[in-house]
Amino acid sequence: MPEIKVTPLGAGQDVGRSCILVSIGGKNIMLDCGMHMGYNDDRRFPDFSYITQNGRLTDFLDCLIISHFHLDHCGALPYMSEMVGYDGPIYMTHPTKAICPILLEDFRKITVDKKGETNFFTSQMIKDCMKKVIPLNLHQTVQVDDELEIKAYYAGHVLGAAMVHIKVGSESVVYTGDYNMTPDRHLGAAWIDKCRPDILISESTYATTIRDSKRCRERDFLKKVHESIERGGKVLIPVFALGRAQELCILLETFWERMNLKAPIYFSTGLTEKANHYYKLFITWTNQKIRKTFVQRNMFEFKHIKAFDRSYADNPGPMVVFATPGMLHAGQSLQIFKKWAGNEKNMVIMPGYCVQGTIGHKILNGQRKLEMEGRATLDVKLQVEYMSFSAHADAKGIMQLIRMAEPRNMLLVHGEAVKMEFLKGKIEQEFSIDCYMPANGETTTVTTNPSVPVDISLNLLKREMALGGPLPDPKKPRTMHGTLIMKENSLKLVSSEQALKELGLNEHQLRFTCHVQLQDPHSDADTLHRIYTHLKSVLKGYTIQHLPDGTVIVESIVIKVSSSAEDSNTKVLLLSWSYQEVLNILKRSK
Amino acid sequence: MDRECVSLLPRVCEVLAASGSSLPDDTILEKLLDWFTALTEAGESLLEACPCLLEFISAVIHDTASAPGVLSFTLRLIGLLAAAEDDFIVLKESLVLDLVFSCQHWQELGLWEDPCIRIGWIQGLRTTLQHPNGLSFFRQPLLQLQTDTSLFVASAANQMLAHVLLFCQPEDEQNTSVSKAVVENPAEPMEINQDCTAVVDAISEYLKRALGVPKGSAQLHQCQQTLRLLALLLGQTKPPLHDKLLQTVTASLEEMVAADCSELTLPLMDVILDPDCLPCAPDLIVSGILSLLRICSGDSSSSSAGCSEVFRNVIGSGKVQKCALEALTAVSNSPGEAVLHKSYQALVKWMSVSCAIDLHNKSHCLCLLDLVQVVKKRACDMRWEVRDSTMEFLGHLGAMRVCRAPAEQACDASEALLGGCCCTTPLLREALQDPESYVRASAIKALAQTVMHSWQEGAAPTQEQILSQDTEGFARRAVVKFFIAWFSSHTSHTPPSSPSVRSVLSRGCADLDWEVKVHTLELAELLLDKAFLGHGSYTKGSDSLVEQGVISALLSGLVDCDRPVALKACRLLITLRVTVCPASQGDPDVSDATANAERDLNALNATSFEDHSEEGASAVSHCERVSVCEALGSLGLDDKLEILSRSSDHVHNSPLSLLQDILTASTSHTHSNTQPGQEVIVDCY
Repeated sequence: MPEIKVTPLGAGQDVGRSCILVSIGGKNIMLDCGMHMGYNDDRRFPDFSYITQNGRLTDFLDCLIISHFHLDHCGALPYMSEMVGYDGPIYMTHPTKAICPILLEDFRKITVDKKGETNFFTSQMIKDCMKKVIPLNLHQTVQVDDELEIKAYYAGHVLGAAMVHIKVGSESVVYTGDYNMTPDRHLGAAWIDKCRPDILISESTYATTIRDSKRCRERDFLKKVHESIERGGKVLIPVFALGRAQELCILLETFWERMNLKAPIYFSTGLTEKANHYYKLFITWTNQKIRKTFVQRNMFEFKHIKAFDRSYADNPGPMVVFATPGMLHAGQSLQIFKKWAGNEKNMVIMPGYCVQGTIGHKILNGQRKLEMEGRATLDVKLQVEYMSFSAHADAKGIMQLIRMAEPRNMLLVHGEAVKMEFLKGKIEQEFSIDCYMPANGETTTVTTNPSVPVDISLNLLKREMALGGPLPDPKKPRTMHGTLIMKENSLKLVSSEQALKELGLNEHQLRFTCHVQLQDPHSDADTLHRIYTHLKSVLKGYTIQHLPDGTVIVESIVIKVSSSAEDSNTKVLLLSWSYQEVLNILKRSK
Repeated sequence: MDRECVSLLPRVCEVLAASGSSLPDDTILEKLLDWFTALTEAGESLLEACPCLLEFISAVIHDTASAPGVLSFTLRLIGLLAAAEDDFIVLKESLVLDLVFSCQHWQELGLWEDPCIRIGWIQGLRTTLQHPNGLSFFRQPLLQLQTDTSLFVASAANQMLAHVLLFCQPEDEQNTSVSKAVVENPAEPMEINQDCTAVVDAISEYLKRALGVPKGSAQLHQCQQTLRLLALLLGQTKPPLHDKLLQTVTASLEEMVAADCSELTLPLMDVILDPDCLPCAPDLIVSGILSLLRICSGDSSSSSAGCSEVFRNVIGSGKVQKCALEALTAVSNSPGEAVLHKSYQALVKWMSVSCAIDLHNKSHCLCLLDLVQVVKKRACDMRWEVRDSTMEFLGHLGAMRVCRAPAEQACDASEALLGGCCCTTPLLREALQDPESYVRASAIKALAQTVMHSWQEGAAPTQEQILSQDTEGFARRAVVKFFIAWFSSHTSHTPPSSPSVRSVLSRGCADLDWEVKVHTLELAELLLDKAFLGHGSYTKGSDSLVEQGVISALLSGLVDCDRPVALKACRLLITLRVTVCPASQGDPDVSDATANAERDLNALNATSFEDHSEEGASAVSHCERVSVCEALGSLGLDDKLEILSRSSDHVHNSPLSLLQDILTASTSHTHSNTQPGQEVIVDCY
């Protein structure tokens, strides 16, 4: 039986970096190639030596597919292609291809700041890697080779995020990457065909959560920012250059407009214009509202949000500043944080996860005294808020996607074991399908039962009906006789006559013969007559003829008698029949 | 070990032992182990320095409710401790080793099923096997783990087996690393040697059994894994053992190759292919590759019947072309995507090692004409990748010197190949307007390498415009590098005009991209060097340092939030101080020069300091005119340099910070309602 194997090298029962190996129909595909932000050495990258020890990844992998631009999904890409030496095809959507290098450059900058960093890729490597990327369009089937094809679907989550349907022959797998089943301020909801894959590999970050509506979280966020501004405080929002930052910008921009607020909003990084440029460029990837209003007014051309200059941090009065990097570990966001931390009127809002070893991690854990460089300490008096804006499907969304795609098996990744366990139970119960949750390094093997669609000729169906019995019912399997032919890559079940006609073949009759010896002292003619009489008495209802040329014929079976050359008492019976005849006789004798 | 860390460690151990699965971050256990490893490598005895570790170990391994992650960590910690012979004895006496390295123990507890326990067990055992005493813990289950369902466990087991075998490997003259150790420590030598032989025998025997034509998926898996182990071993073992291994497996390998099982092709290749043996002469390979490339592009005169099938499959095959070009690049013996990109690479490499272009040779000339056509066409390809590779190619050629045969003058390769500027410059200029910033950057870089000096002067305004207007960092970085290349090649020609320098420096320093800023400081460094030619002699006319904005650039760099920028600026300011300011009344040789310099620099408007100084520099801000040396002295450069030279996260990524984080997280967990909640942990971007 054919099998599909799935082995996570990352994201198996964790929310670290994603990197999943799929073997399907003799093809090996890697899904995502993420980086773990928590390490400063090679451990941040997937360990490809599990696949091959000499770095010849190209020999093993047929292709690599990147679902979206977040570093935990694409961060190890230049490492894999430029340092380990993978040279095969890499696929991602157009926006992902355009935005990936920005994020990679952003992260490279952080690593250059850290002297302990080893073995990191260069700017040139990022470019060389991006040159190898083959861009994907949504809903367009791309033929990787003669047998392997992939197709991308909209996933929400971030600009350019895609789910992929991977197909080899009649077997297929869908990988969701990260996705979102509810539209947000700038992106739409994920959608997929009813493609009935053998396995649906889904993220499960919020496997047990039914998230309160995004509106609630947004209101909460705006309320907090507003309160802080009202009391004259400054609000710092550390962000990564792309993604949530743009969503929050739209949110604040509309709020400022509505409330007629005057406090300045700044975006500190040079990457903003570029980021916004990409959102404009890929407007078709945003949600309907943005697309519709685009003609009247481009949502990404902000009236209230201005570029930040480092001298503004000391200006009196309230302000909101978006600054990179997102975990407060270096650069501008940290510099501003240090200036503002001492004032309890101020506030910092962390919109995402922070790794251990960063100030973001420390203040989220509640530390109020921070040791700084040069033996200084920093008293954190400002208000620390955590607001999750990450757009992942919650339990409800995951179930919704299953209903959409109707997979035969389910496999959960990118989530915590305990939560996965819970969701697995729910899925198995509600959909009666198997659900797997392999840990990193563990292989899930699913046996597939490939169904091959076959067309049946009308004539054959009519003939079946003529024989009586129930009409064909698609829900009830039944046996039919016919000839299976392959024409123009499709299979057809037809009658044998039609098969001959369609394939342009001649019919040949096959006759079987055999000799039987028996002892009989009579003459040849007598022996034959005795056989004739005997058969007449045993095979009632059959046409039995004794022809003058010395043959007996039963239906189409021919019997002749001759004497053996050595001994005239030994008679040799020659029997000859066609295959078809035997079937007929068997049928009638039933 | 840091005293503060020692004092925190017992509480951290308590927290870990009681943590269950609720650790604040999935990296902390790894990071703790990193720290312990660094300490042992520095020669510290961990058990002596932190007796609490023994208590921790004992608590964790005897508590049936310990979280698997913590148990796995503990197993690895035990291995780390046991690697030191003194600690090994302590652990052995406390019966810890016998308990934890018995896999039966874990099986009985029902924990063996968890792959992280198996990994911890293997890795712990592996670190223990650093000295001969450890060998007594070599366990048969290791061989079974080699085919474990978890890829990670199987791989760790393979690594472990290789490690053990190499550890036992008889070196030259019967002198094994084990027997060396035995000489140093003569306790129970016989027993250890026996251990060693037994281990080698067990593994060889296993290899022999495990290899063969597989008859089912379980056997296939075992074969694959064993081949991997074999590849590992053959790569690392030395003659006697290497040969013995080969002898053991040759028959099975032959059989497997003959069976032609597709799943085994890759691992078999890994074993069989020896990278050092090149089958034939490089010349033959090159001509072979060239004919292959000709076939790929549909151009071949030979058409014997047998070949037609090959042709059909090979013509137009990008994969074959890529490989062939790669091989060509590799054979050219210099260190080494798209077919075009690879062709360019190969061409550049070949130019650099061999090519003597003979313009009197007709076929060479025809080739060159072709090349010019191709480059022109590719420079306006629809795909930015192709345009960029073309620009890069032009840049590489510009930077390369070649000899034109026979006996003509050396010139740059673009001259030789493409007829020089008249062909390339228009292409490059056009590319400056390319919509893709990568292409613009490559074009600027190529211009810097290609174009004659006279042209550079003319190009400067365009470049300045790019620096001030281009929205992408890549292009702006390239511009600053363009100026660096120009200025540094500028020895005898007229110096770049001062306004131009000033504007590049001021724009570069105010750039949003950190690399543009760093390159700008490199440019400033160049100007500094030129101003102080040789050993601190301060040449007249270089008061332009101030005028050019070099000082401004350095001061603004010093307070930049991007560390590499601040560090570079700090270093340059220190160089400036060393050159200009007499080290406590100074060196008599340079005092004249420095006095000059000081006088000139004093003309520097103090506001330039005032503008950029923060913190340490406040002292200068109120003086109208201040001695440069005083100003430089007041910046606290040495302290700054010390801080900036360290990693930006050295405070928060230190062991102490790690221990504090673990403790804070545990207290915040106990009062979790004051916290933003679990989502913080799982929410990934």
